[in-house]
Amino acid sequence: MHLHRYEKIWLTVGLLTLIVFIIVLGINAFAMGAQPPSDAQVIDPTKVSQTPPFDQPGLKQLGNNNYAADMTAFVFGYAPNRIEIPVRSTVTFNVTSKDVVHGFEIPGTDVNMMIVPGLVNSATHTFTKPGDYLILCNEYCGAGHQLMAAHLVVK
Amino acid sequence: MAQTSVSKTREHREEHAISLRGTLASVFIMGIFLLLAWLGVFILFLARL
Amino acid sequence: MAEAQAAEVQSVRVDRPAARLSLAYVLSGFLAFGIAAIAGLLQGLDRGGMITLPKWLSYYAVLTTHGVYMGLVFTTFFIIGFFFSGVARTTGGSLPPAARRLGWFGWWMMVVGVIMATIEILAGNASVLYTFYAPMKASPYFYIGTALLVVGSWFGGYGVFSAYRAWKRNHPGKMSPLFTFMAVSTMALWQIATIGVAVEVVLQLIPWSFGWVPTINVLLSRMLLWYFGHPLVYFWLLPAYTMWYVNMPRIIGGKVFSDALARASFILFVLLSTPVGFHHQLLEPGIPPLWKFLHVMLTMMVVVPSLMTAFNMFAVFETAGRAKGATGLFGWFKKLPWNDVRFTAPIMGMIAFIPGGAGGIINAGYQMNEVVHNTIWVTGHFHLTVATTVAMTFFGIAYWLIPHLTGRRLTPAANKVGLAQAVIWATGMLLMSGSMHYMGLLGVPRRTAYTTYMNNPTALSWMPLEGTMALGGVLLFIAAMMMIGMVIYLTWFAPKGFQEYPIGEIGDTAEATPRILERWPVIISLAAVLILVAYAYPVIDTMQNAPPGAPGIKTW
Repeated sequence: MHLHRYEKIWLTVGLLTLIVFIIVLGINAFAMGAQPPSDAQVIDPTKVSQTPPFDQPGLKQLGNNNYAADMTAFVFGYAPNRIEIPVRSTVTFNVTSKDVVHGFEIPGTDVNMMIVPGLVNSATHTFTKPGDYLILCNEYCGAGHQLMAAHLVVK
Repeated sequence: MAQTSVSKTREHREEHAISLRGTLASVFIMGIFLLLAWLGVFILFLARL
Repeated sequence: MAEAQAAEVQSVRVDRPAARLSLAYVLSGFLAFGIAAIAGLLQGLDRGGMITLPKWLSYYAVLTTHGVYMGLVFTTFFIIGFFFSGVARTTGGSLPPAARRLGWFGWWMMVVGVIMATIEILAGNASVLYTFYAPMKASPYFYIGTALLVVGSWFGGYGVFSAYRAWKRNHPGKMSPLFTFMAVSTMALWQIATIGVAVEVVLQLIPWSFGWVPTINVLLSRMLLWYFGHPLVYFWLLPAYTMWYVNMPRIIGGKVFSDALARASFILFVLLSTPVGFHHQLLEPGIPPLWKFLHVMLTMMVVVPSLMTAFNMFAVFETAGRAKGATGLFGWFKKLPWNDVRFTAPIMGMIAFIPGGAGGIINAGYQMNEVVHNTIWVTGHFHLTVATTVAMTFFGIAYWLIPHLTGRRLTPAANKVGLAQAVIWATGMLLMSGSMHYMGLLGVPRRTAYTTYMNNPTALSWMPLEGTMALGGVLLFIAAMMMIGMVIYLTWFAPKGFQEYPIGEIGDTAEATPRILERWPVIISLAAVLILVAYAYPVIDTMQNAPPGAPGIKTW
């Protein structure tokens, strides 16, 4: 099949650019640790309230400026619905759903993940600026979806 | 195109090789736009990490 | 002589029985489009805070109507109708009786399915959006309705295949007409794609919704949905590409740039558009990172046939422009028929596909997806690709297809209205999709009713942009109603006459087409291998290591 010389140039440059995208993303994710949330931990979605750590959702201090936030998502809210941490804290959010699929997003950060019943998902972020961060559900979950939010206060 | 003769066809063929400069320029302008948009969001991603 | 031959070819007319079938599909599609546009206006105004929907009308039922009717009903009906007309047009003007029977059977099945699904949506039993994510549980009749819509569309595809086979039998050893080949490839892609959603609906959702099984494997249902969800967008796009490759050259007075490359790009779509579904699930638990990354790599490869198409289209425009005496680097641009709606509406769609495609590459960017996932950026993205690129190409098609089928003419006045309609639609989309993209980067969620999250300052700062979005929605609604008006005019009121069904000739410089591009067993086997590579392990893993299933719940 004959290709016009210009088309060869265009397709070669285009293909190389796409390959560069793949390499940049691959290095950033696999070598520098910027992986998207892909937790593999399973849980019985009907027994979330009896399964540790989600029987007692809340903030747990792991070390200096290092926290785990074990949270549950449900129609139409999160538990806990307010978290306070000191500035420059690193928080790992471990979240699971007690009912349907939810989202977990903190606008202005890269924290954004799907919360699927039967699975735990997690994301880690370091908060370097003080402020009141909105945690919101970005996956349609029912009649009160637009009200589903929580607050993270960084002091 | 009833008068399309062999010579005209040949002329068209020769012209063909040079007449796609605009096409090449257009796809590259498009390619630069794709690249800049991608870089913009990737930088935003790194800034919000 | 060539001239006379060309004139004869262009005078081929789709005969009455084929035209009736095609028209039934196209008009059903536009009926759905009109209903969806009303739903779109309501939700745009509600979300922008300009109106408050009455208590009995849920935002999410309206949103479900808009999504199902635009994304599944309008597109599927229009596409099948367009393909039937073009297959008839390029294989001698008629469809074999068997193809027509399959076509009508499919049409009735789709209509019954849509009516069932609509009743359940209106009754408030199916506000699950067109992605129907389990374990939100809708009425079983909603799922059965959507299954009938999909299965009906299979019969539409079988009709296209049967016409193709009949042509092949009568023309042994010959390459099929380009349009027919493209219709066959797209419907083959559709058969492959819909396996996923059919398995999900028939084996998972319907038994669970009836209560025959208590719980559902949520992750599996999502994998099956997105196995279907991405090739679905190529099912929307490829008919537009068909128009660009085959009909557009004739409209602008040019020729098809390369028959072989056009076919090659369609084959690449058949091969590559399915094994990429995880790029819709990049932020999900339960899917190992390497498998997600494999799908990301394949997604980047499915960009290549679109790069080919872009080059091809510019080449068609430039060659035609230079043949008319254009000079300079971009002189050909001015030689294009900008006052012909058959050209102007689709080219606005083509231009929109540049930012649309850029957005697509960004969305599929693995970890970069965290910036945009489930934000309204995504809504802005597919309003560029489907609602501008595809929809405006379909508008452009309707302006000549409908009068061709009804034996009427697109008058100069109707052409002017069409140009205005196209400009208003494009402007509305620029405002709406532009503000959606910008809001998405700020983190505004998609699929969410009017909210300020209890007067949260971050959420309040988004409000002016929501207003711009709603304004764009109003313009789109006006353009949609103009389109409906034009469809009615061209179907029943335009003056009688002959409207050409434009089919481009293959250019003199185009090379012979390699035979491999029509060896379906080879192509389908390759597609199957790629799908197995991309999906076999993750799907089996998800079935074997599944957490206890989730019971269904109605949360709306």
